[in-house]
Amino acid sequence: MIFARFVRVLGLPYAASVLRFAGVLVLVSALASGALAQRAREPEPEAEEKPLVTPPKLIRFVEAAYPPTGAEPREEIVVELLLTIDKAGAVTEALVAKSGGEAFDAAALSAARQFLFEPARQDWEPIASRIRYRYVFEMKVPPVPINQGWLSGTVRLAEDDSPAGRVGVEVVNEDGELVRELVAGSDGAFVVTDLLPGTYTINILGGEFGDLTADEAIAAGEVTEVIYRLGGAKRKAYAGFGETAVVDAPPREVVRRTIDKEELTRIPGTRGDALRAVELLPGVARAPFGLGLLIIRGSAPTDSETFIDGIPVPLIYHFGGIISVYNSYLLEQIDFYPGNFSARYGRRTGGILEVTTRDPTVDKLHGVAEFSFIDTFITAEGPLTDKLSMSGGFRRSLIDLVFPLFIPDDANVGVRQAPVYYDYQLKLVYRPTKRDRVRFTSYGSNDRLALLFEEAAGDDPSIRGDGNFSTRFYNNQIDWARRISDKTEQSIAFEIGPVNIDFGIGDAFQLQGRFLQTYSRAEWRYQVNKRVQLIAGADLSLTPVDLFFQGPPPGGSEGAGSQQGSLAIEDQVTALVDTVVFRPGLYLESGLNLGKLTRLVLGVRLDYFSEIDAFSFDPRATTIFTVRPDMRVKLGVGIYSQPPEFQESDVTIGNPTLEPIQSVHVGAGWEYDAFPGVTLDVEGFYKYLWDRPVPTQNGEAPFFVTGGIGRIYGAELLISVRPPKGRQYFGFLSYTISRSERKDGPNEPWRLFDFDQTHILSASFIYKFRRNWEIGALFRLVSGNPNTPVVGSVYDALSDLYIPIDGRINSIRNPLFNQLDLRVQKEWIFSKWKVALFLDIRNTYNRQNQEGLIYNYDFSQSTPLLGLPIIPSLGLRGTL
Amino acid sequence: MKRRLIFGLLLIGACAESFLPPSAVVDLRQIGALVEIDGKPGRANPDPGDMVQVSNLVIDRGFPPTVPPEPPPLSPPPLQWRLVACIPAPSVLETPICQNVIPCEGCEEVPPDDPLAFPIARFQIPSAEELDAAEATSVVLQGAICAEGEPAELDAIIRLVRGDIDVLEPCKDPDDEGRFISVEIPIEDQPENPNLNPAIADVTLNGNPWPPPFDQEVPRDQSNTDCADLVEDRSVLPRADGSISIIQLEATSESFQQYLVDDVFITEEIQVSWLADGGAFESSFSFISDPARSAIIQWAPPNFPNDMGRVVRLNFVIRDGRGGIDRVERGLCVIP
Repeated sequence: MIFARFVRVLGLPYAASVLRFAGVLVLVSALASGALAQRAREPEPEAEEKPLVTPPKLIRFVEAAYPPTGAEPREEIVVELLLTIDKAGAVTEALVAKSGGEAFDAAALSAARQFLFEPARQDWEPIASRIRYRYVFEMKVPPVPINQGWLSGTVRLAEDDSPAGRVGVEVVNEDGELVRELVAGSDGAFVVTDLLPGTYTINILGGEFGDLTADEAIAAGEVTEVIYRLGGAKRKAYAGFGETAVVDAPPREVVRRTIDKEELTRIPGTRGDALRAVELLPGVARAPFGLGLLIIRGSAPTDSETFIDGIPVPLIYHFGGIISVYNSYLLEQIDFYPGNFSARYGRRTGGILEVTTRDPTVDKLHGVAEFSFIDTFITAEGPLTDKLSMSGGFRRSLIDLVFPLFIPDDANVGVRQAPVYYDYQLKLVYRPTKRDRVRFTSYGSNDRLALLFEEAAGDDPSIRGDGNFSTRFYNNQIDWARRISDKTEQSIAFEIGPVNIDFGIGDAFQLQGRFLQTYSRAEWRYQVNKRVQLIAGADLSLTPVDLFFQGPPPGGSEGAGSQQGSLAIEDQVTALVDTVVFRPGLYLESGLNLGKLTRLVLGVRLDYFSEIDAFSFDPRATTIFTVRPDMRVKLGVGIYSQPPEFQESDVTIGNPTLEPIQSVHVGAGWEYDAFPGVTLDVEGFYKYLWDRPVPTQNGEAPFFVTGGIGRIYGAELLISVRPPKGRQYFGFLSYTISRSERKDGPNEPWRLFDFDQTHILSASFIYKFRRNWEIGALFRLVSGNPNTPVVGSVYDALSDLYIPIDGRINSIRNPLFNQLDLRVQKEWIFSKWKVALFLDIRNTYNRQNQEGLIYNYDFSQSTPLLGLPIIPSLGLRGTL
Repeated sequence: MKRRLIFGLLLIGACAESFLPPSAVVDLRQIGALVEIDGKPGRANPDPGDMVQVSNLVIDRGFPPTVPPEPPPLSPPPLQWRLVACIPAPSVLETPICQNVIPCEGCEEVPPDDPLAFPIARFQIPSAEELDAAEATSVVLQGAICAEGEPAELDAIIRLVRGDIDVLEPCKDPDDEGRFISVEIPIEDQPENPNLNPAIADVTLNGNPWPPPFDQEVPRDQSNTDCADLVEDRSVLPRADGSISIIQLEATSESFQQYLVDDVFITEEIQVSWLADGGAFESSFSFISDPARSAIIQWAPPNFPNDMGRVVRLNFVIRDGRGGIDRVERGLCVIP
């Protein structure tokens, strides 16, 4: 599969000018690779003869593109560089010693990395050296008119986005004549200057990584910048039409929304947590209290799944939502599929979140350390050998240091263990050959909280005794990607890791679970010809489960009413589970290019669920029409299945004869690149669910039956804004209008889903000012969640408590939610590292949003349950 | 799902306005139900076929407040009730649903002949065969009690569940005070070691015996004010000056029965409920375990400027969690 990204620079600020550049070589003394360069001097008559050292000599100069800064032009702009030159004369490192401005620095660095020198010599032997180079941009009155353009390209490997190295580049004009032939630099960059306007065919000769051919249009007075990607299909997208970008719609799904690493950690209100940014995308409902619930297109949180590098993650957030368990600074990208997702994913009827971790850097050691009042973390990454690189991270919360201060003295609550969380990540990447990549990833999370309620808490006598909350998991996964041939690729992954959950409140509620999650996936991709691609794969989830539950009957996962009653008035059930859950899956998918404009993806998936001894068969289809290069129309339809929840199918407290939950997704979308850097995306969706488990009347055996249905429909709008070049700003506006309803039996009326939010509006903009100041804002306006009112109560003499009587399920709604989050950051950049001071404020104007109702002891009075108040977070971050 | 928020709510703390605690009595309240079995004194749980009398322990505000110079009424308004005894349908729902009605004496008094009467019902526990056929391990006394005015019909709860009505009111006039009540009476399942009612041995005030004249109970027709003249020794009375009183409740040693659960003997833990129609307790619940046998609670008297004193009714209820109950009422005349 071949990737290419095409970016056009729309002219230069001063069309009447032609720019020339001059470089002045300044020699300074330097130490490099154990060699010493000395000023020549007269030898002492009696001293030992000193070695003769000659400096490097520039033999290939590359002119840098004059960056379009939009500022007033200056006659001369100087950028001083420190260049490290190896024994072959190639530039291995280029650093800015004296800046001429960010844009000019980048342009000078890009050009200087392509310089070629006659290496420095010591006694005629080539040696490595470091020199100071003065790069001068100067204005010159140009000849009029301008009738030439430039092509500036970078060739990378698709699988890990690393530079492809010294690949060959051929430039062929419309007459088929070879007008230029060159070799890219070690960083994969090349520049072709002085091209007459027209369309050229660019041939990238990638050797083992394959070749790439692309047509580029060159305009007079413009520099056309392109990134080419060679190699296997790391992403599911491929350039059937000659272009595919990380942010463009893929050919296998109706909609995929992507947040890349440059934006992951800059969203206000998220404290740099990448997974939080997903909440701002259309189709994602707001979770109450900032909990980490993934509510996608009107589906319950348990209907969607998050993957990290293709492996399902047992727990995404610490304590249900404080921060995600995988450090965002080690992530590459997040892909979000709100529906109509590929046959690669199964066992879910909602949406998919695919988190891709970043491979360690291969150039040198890098790292990030951050300290804030909530937690602190450190990451480090870099090469170990030329084939092996490693990255790692560790985080620890600081809340436990201050938590006891917030417990009132008269609260009768003892703190056995203040809330504390840890997480760690470790990744090793080994490239034994150019065709193989082996990755080992280990990550884990540990959350603990333990309280002692000396007396009954509040109005509920069941809330007493020990209260504990503890989750731990340790994931270990290994994956092997191999390019078997030019047409065939293979990836195999295996994961194993324990998961422990402990949750209890006195004698009223106990849940202890021990799971050993194992997951494996094998996938093969075969490019039959230019038009047809086949993908076949299998995945297996095998999980031994050892679980003890004691408490009130769990009930359904959604639509359970107010749930306001005390635990003490409910019957207790006990479940002991010792079993192995076995869920294999097979999938097959084909991608067909029907002509140049239409892509059709057909897929099927077969799953088996051992806990209910049932199969599911899910056919899916997606088609993408490229109406114009800047406009696409997408259609998708498919069947999606998932097994019932544990408590619904367990033999003790559930019904093991249930059927898999089924749904049909229908989606249609229109995507338009309105202006350079502005993308407009409109989606419509409809989902119908059937065979949902619903509780039996009076909660008696078999406890759950198959009979519930659901319907979800709506539309989404996403406008994303990014500059055509660079990362000075980005922003987006997302809006969703939808309706999500359920019916809990043939004779039951339709009711709202627990998290139905008719309107969801999110607007965010982040701008980087001069002197490395960055300010961002996020505003959200969301319909309130539905609620079930308590319309009365019955006094229970046995327990001396009141039993709430619910009104119609989800018949009232919280008021409109609105919140503003701000983020301000100042960064100081030094030669080898940088430090940032940031302030992240969630709920800046301290809006008292209502998240529900709380009642007094006999449910005769209620008052709003308010959400989180203003939460500022001040932090300091250092980056190497 | 929402139960997962329990910890979150506890950690977040009070994010909303505070309510009066359960210990504060400001309207009609039922605080328990005492089951007495004919011929089996002290037993809490009946056997099939037993004749039982269920006394619903109700407290109310007593006399409605009056503004001088209007004289207070001579007696409080009569309670009215409409109850049903029944075998419940099998269910794991929180509210029992009546299945088979049991004939009941005194279940419906609209209004009662005695204006000062409390709801007391008598009925016979069904036979073991009837209970087994219904898969029932208890019987239920359920219905509505109103401080004044007529209670709602007995099928009000069912009509709400069916969707015939949207609001549940215990009294036909929504402005009347009332309560829906449900008394679940477990059938004895260990006849060789039957459950007995616990008993309150003593209640003391600030380490001293409870001061008269309300050291046993407070008559239902006792006025809420002008009690200072009834008190001989005012020095032991609490004062409305913010000072805290210490109340200690002691249960008898026999209250802590041992019973079998899954072949393991467990000692009962007694739950104590404190209630008062004036002032404030530091908590609403407490627990007593053997061998301590007593619980201590702090009580702050109300701020009452009337020199003639104000009567505060305090109720103490202990439960063994299996149907056994005891209750004592005390009164205090609070003086400025």
